[in-house]
Amino acid sequence: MTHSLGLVGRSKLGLKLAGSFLVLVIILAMLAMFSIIESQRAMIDSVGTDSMHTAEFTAHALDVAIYQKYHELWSTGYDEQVQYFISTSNSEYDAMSDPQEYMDLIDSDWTDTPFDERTPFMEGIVANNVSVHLTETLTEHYLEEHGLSIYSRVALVNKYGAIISMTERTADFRQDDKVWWSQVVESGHYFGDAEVDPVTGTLGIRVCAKLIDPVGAFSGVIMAFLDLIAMAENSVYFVETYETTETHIVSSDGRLLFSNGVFQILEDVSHEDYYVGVTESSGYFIGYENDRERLFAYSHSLGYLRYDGGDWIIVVNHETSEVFADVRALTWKIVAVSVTSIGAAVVASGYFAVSLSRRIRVIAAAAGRFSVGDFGSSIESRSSDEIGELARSLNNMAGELQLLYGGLESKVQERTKELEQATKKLHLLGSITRHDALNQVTVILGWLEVIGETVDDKGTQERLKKIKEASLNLLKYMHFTGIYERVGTKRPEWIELGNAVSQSLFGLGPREFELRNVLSGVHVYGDLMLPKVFRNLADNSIAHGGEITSVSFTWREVPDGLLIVYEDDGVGIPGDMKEKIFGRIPKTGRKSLGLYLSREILSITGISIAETGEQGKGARFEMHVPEDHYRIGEAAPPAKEESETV
Amino acid sequence: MDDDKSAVHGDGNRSAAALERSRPTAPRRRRWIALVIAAISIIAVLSSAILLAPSYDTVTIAVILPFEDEAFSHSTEIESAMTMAIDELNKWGGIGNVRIELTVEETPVTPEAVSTLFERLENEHSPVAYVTVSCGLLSALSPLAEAASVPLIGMASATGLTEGYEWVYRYYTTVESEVASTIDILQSLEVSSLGILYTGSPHGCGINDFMVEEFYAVGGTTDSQMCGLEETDFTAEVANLSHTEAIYVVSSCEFIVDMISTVHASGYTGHLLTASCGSSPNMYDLLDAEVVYVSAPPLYKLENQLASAFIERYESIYASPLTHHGAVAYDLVYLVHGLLEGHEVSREALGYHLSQGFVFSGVMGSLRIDPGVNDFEFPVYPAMVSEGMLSYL
Repeated sequence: MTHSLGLVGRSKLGLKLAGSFLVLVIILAMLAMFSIIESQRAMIDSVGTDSMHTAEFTAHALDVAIYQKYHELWSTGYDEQVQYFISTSNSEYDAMSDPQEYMDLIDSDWTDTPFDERTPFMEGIVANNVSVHLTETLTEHYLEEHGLSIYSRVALVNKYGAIISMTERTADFRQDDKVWWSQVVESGHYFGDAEVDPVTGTLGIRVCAKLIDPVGAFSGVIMAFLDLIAMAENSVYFVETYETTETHIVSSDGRLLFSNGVFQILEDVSHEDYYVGVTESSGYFIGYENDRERLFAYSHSLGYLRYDGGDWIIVVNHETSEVFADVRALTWKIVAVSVTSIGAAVVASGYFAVSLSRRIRVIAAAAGRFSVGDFGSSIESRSSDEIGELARSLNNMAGELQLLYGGLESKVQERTKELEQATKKLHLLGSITRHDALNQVTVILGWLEVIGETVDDKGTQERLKKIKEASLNLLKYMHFTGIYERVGTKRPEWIELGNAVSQSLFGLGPREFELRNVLSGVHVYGDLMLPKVFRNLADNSIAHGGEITSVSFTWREVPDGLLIVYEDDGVGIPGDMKEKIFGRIPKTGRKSLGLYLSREILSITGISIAETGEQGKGARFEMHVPEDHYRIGEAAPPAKEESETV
Repeated sequence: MDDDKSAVHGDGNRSAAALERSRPTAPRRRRWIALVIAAISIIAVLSSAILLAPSYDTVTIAVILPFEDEAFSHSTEIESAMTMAIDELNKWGGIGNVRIELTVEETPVTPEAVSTLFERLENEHSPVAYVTVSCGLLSALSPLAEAASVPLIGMASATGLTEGYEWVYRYYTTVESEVASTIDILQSLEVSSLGILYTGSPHGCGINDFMVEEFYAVGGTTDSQMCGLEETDFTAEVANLSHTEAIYVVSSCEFIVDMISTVHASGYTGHLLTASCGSSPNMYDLLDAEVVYVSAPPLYKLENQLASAFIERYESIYASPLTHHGAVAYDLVYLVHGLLEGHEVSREALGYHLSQGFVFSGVMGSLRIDPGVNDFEFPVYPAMVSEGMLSYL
């Protein structure tokens, strides 16, 4: 795996491909997640709006129910039996000398009696026909028919404010001192806020309807305490949108009036999110209840007809985990698919990148071989894609180049052959001419010798000596040309230097110096005349080094190649002569062109030579062989012909 | 000698060697590597859901029921209804991310067996609450629950069972409600002489005693015939009541059917009445009479949307009829959940909130409980069973 990843890492194309795949998949995943988020937001709006409408409907249903109970109460107040009873009571009180005193007396006794007790007077009121009628018509009717105690208690009050009928005892007898009394007498109706009935302990709403007699005069009030919890149970919209749907009714000051779960009446919920989050007449928001996130929708009570509405808020809420269950499940699926896709994309792109890179590298390697003229290896191509086409094109190109080079090579060979023939002819001509010339010079030298023996004149002797020297020089030059003529005429070869030194010094003459040769195993690519260089160096040491006791041929590798070092322990070469000794026209007083010839021989294959010795300590010649023109030890194996499949 | 220098061949082809070193691995190995990576990715994704899934605490509700042969046939229904409630609540986190568990045990109704079972349940589960049925089990468990300070809620009709106890509660109809509803029926039928055929259980004796007193108060007369708990032949007792205008049969659900059949078979022509047991749907077809008057809880009212939806949901899951026994058990689970939601989930907290009074709307109707009240009651209303159907009067 590391090798494969390493391959991808080394493959810029592979990295680009893998990165592109990854970016694409990540973008798609982000797009999917964005869609999910937006869907969730849209769902919040949709469910929130729908729940808000449910809250509004529930608030309206409760308001309508309260008003309907008021109307029913009012209607009951106009039953013939009730109208007769209240008329009779009013007449009785009209006949009293001081009905207020009477009422005070009764009221005092009434209020002194504990709520859970009834005096005979109270029992008489509860048992009268109208009380029984109210009980059967209102309180027991809803209880028996619907199982709901809608009317907690009902009472009938005459125009003086005295209780004359009741289904349950009231807190007191006199009613005309109450706030609601003055309001109902003035406006004809009264709707109270949620309060706890001190008598029954019921959380309810007081509703009152003004009664008038046939002539339009005020005759009394029929009053009821509606059980708010029973009203809410009857009005709460029980179509469960969700399994976790709950409905709360909260007073404007943060008291819980109703919940379809378990609750305590008038529990302080002013700190709860579902109260704090209420800011408008209706709306929705996300909040928390019991550490669980819920969607809350709410609506205020807005009233109905004469009923202005209660001072409370209807809150409908559901757990967001249920509302968004499908969305969240989809989110997880998308995450899973995205992660899997990313993983698969990485694997696929890596595999593709490695495969593609390998094929490109093979083609690049082949192109490299073609560039150096190796057209022997072809790129085997089995694919029909662009890479395959490129490989086939390269093969075709190589074939064409090979044909072209082949043609060129044959021409070059032909020209080389012609050149060789011409050179051969020139060489032969030169050789013959040089031979003839040498013979003539030899004749000249011979006759000079003869003439010298026959002439006694010193001046003539001097002149003959100079002619002899000139002839010897001519002989030397002709000998030099013969040697120089051979330089570069044949292709350089790999020359083992150890043997070259030994062979070149063969026949050097009596040697009274030690020879150290450590060039064994060193191969240098050079002209076939290379051994001549070594011979020339040795000759120069003998000729010009004075008394030498040792010469050495050594080597060492340097950063840019190989140094072959020749040293002797002779007199050395003066500093100003170090370069002149290599000149073509000797100005050194020495009459040899050997070093010039040596430099020329070495230069054929790029080998340089320089004298780096110290005068007085011996001559030191350093021959620098370029980096790829030498081998140490065994020769490197020849390169194989390769065939690569792409 | 420095071996770092590249060997120079006669043809200068040094780059091919480098390419040789960078040749990729065999295709087969690459395929295996790719498969392993893909498999690891898939496994990581699939296991992440498991690894990231939150862990929950649990709380136990223990239900103690009498053995089937102890004349109580609603054990399965109670367990099913409570399981249904628990599943509904746990689906959305239980009680504030605390899962609810149910453990149901049956026991003979003897002090020794009850005590042994209670001790084992305390050691193994430490339930947040106990639920039981029948007056006998409630009486046996009450001192144990009180000593352990753990709420015990009994589905029994006798009201005096919770007196003197702080941790013992009762949720069922009452003798008073049963009798009041029955008297309403008797008055509407203008019955003045009533025969009472009852078994000698606390339930039967309680209703008989109260009925005698209350019916007398409204000007009626009674004649009571008590049957033994193991008695199966009621012919003699029925014969002794043949002179009455109506016979009121009071017993457990299993014996009511036989008793009413005996009355019907005797040729009795008066009115037949029974207690709330007779209002269970599984009784309608068993009651061998043209008309039997019963006292029925509001659960069976067709206009009760909440109850109707609940019954439909239960019967679709368990394919068996639901009675008010199961409905009460269902409501008890939701009551415990509602009292503890948002608070510490413990028996101490449950006991506290039970004692503070509350309002609860369940499938059995609304409960308005004042602080310190240990008796929770659902109302019953006059009704009659005729031709396999229940109708409210």
